[in-house]
Parts: sequence; C-alpha cells; structure tokens
Amino acid sequence: MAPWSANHRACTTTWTTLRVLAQIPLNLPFSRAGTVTMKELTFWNQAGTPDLRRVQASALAAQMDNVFRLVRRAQFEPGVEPAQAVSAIANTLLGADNTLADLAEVNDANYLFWGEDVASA
Amino acid sequence: MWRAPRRTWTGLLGLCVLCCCLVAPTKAQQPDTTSLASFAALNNIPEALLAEVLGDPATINKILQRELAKGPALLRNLNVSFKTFKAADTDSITGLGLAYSFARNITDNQFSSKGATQAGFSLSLQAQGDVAFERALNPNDFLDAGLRIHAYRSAGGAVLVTDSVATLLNELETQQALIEDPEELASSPFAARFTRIVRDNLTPQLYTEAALSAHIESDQRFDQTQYVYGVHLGVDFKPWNAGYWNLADWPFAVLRWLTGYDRALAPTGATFPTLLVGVQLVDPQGVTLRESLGETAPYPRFSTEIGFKTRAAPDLSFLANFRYYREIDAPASIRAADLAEQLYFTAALVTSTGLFASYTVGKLPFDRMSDQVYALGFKFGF
Repeated sequence: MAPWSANHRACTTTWTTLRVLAQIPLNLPFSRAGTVTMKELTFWNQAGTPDLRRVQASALAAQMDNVFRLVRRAQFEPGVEPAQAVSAIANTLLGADNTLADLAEVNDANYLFWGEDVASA
Repeated sequence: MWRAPRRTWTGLLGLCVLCCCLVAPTKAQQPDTTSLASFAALNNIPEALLAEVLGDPATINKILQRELAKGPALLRNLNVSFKTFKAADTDSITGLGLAYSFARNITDNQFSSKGATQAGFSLSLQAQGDVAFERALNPNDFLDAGLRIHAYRSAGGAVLVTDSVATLLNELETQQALIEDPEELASSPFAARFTRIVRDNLTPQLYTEAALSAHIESDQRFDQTQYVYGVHLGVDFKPWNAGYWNLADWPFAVLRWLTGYDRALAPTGATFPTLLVGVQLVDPQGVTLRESLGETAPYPRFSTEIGFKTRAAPDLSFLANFRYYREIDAPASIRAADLAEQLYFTAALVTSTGLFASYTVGKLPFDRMSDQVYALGFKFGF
C-alpha cells in the first residue's frame, strides 16, 4: 500500500479535497482516511452502469484537478500532461478497492503541490 | 424488508477458498491440512473461531483481494459482489449469484485546457452484469461489455486564488491533519475556516460528453445476444457552491441534520443526479422472442439512465438508479409482445460494511421476469 503520512502534502491535500467535495465525511480524521476505498466515496453508485460511473468519475477527476490547480495552486510535475493527470485520477477512482492512499500516490506523481519544490516532491 | 444472507453459503465458500489457498506442507511428516479441524490444530487456532471468521464475508473478501492483488493492475478496476435473490412471493432466499462491473479509460488526450475549462477525448472499456448460479432464478439476467470513444468538456468548478490564500490553506490543512478525534475535527476552527475558504472559491461545474460506442448485450449463457452501436450524451452538473439547487438531496439533508451527521441543514451539490441519454442501433442475435415474431432485423433504440446517491445518516447512504429503453418505431408485433420498451428502477441502502438492502422493479432487455425482487447481499472488491 502507498504510504499515508501527514507530512506528505499529496496525502493531506487529497484528503481535504475529498472532504470539501463531500466524497468523505467532514469529521473523518486524516489518520483514518488512508484506507477508505473508492467504493465508499459519495460518487460511487453500485446500482448504476459502468458508463454512468465513468461519467461521474471523470467529472470528479476534472473537479479535483480544478481544486488542485486553481484553489491549492498546484502545478503539474515536469513532463506530465494535463490529460494524463486527470485520466490517472479518473482511473484510480474507478477501481472500487483502490484507497485514498493509492489516489494520493497517483496525485503525488503528477502534481507539484504549493510549497513543494521539485527536489523535495 | 431486509434480510441478512445465509451464513452457510458464505461459510462453505470460505472453506473452499481456504482449501485452495493452503500451502503444501514442508514438514517431513506431511500433516493433513485438508480439513478445517486439522488446519486449526496445526496453527493453534480454536476451530470454532476459525469457522466463524471464515463465515464472515469480509474474511473472504480479504483472501480474494490478497490473491488477486498478485495479478495484473487492470484487475483493480474489476468489482465483484456476491448476491442472493428473493422473489416477492416467497419468504426464503431463492438464489445465489454475483454481480460484476469494470470500467477503465485506456487512453486520454486533451486538446484544450484553460482555467477551469478542459476538453479532450478518451477511449474506454466497460463491462457489467448479474450472474446467478442457477440461471432460472436470475431476475436481472443481463450482461453488457463494450468499447467507447468519448469527447468531453468540463466547464467551471473553481476559481484561481492568490498566493497568500494558497499559503494560508496549506497552514490550515496541516493543523487539521494533526487532529485524531472526529468530534474535535468537526468543531475545529481550522477545519471550518479551511472548508469555508475553499468552498467560497468553488463554482458550479458542468461536465458533458458525447460518445460513440460498440458493445454486446447478452444473457448469462450467451444464448441471446445483441450487438449495439450507438451514441450517447452524458451530463454531470454539480453546483458545488449551491447545494440548495439539488432538490433530490433535500429529504436526506433533513435526515443528516436530524441524525447529527451534518450540523446544519445543507443539501449538497456534490450529489446532483447524473444523466445519460442515447440512441443505439441494436442488432439482435438469437433473441428468442424476437425470432418467434419474425423480427430479427437491426432496430433503433432510445435509452436513458439517471443515477443518484447521497449520504442519509452516519454510515448509511441512499442510492437510486433509473433506466429506460424504448425501441423507435417498433412494429405492432413487438409492441403487442411488450418488447418495445423496458423500464428499470432500483433503490438501495448501503453501509460501510458493504451489507445492503435494495428494492428493484421493472426489467432490463432479455429479462423474462418483471417481478419485484429484493436483491440482498454483500460486497467483495478486487
């Protein structure tokens, strides 16, 4: 499993973003959030078709990207294309048993978060 | 009415899985590990405790997850759940089966990105279905797998903040991450200020996509199949900063407030229903009822789907799905046989443990039953 640490900006930003977007409860502490799976997120509707769930995951991925870049002032890692980053989020969201830690690891690979530098990212 | 699945089914399944996972003995004496009792004795585990653990669906899930995690990464997007079926006119569970679903973007290309507006196209694979171990008892006997090319556009969602706001948000986030107690986090001034600042910089988002698709629909034995070629329009509107627009969430907002899940009466824009509308050309192959009516030519079909899910209370979510299929300009024989349109609705309550209760009415293509069915079960993920 990917590391889940409060010292890791990708982890904490993934956690707060999903809280603000109402995908996980606002009172879910960071320490307990790393093992939450994608199927436990609010968007995941197991009664829907994969088509519908893919639309919802794609929309949520685009919004997570909006929050990262515009509200949290993240930039893409060198060599990462925007479509690659958003698609990676969407694909992770579509894996029912992927965890928040897995999602944070994907985000860490594609985004340079505010306050990080290339050397420490 | 909700009824828990039979533990004997899960216990037997757990024992079978355990037997498949047993490692060959390495001791010279070749101890017998083929029985639960001997395995328990070999590992100093009380047999009754081992039997109870194996009867727990979560245990089976963990075993399967561990074994399949060794496979290709593609399997992470495959979700499988065991289900039991109960018809409306019986008091007992009538069948056991499983439901599966899979969805993954294969490629993604963006041709436009400015601020909160993005546009591009992608290629995806999808599959889903319900399979009953005794086929005649499957009320949702319908499998679907396909390839799709989508052009998408996402507009709105957030606005750019200043450097000082970004720095402040980082500091507030760091403070929140140190809080271990849920009650303390819920009343934390750092969390409240962080949430307010972020949400003040969110705007409504409109995600739309148009897709070309080719897929196959069939029953679980592939006795009857249809090749479907179509176009669809997907719309996912989320008023992130204006939840009061989400009329569907108002009853659940009241529930969340009454149960203390939310501290204020606040519908959320995050659960605004999602819509799919499409037109397909359906090419039936071996569809018994249509063949008996002499209608085997490809036919156009309109379809729509609406999905909704929201939190209802602590550790309880409500979800609903509505689908409608209608053959365009159906011949009189098709209409007379009640094959021209299908309507399907399901609603369910889901907990974090995966146990759920659902109510389904209507039928999907190929179904021969339109009885009301309670689908009960437990979830296992790959």
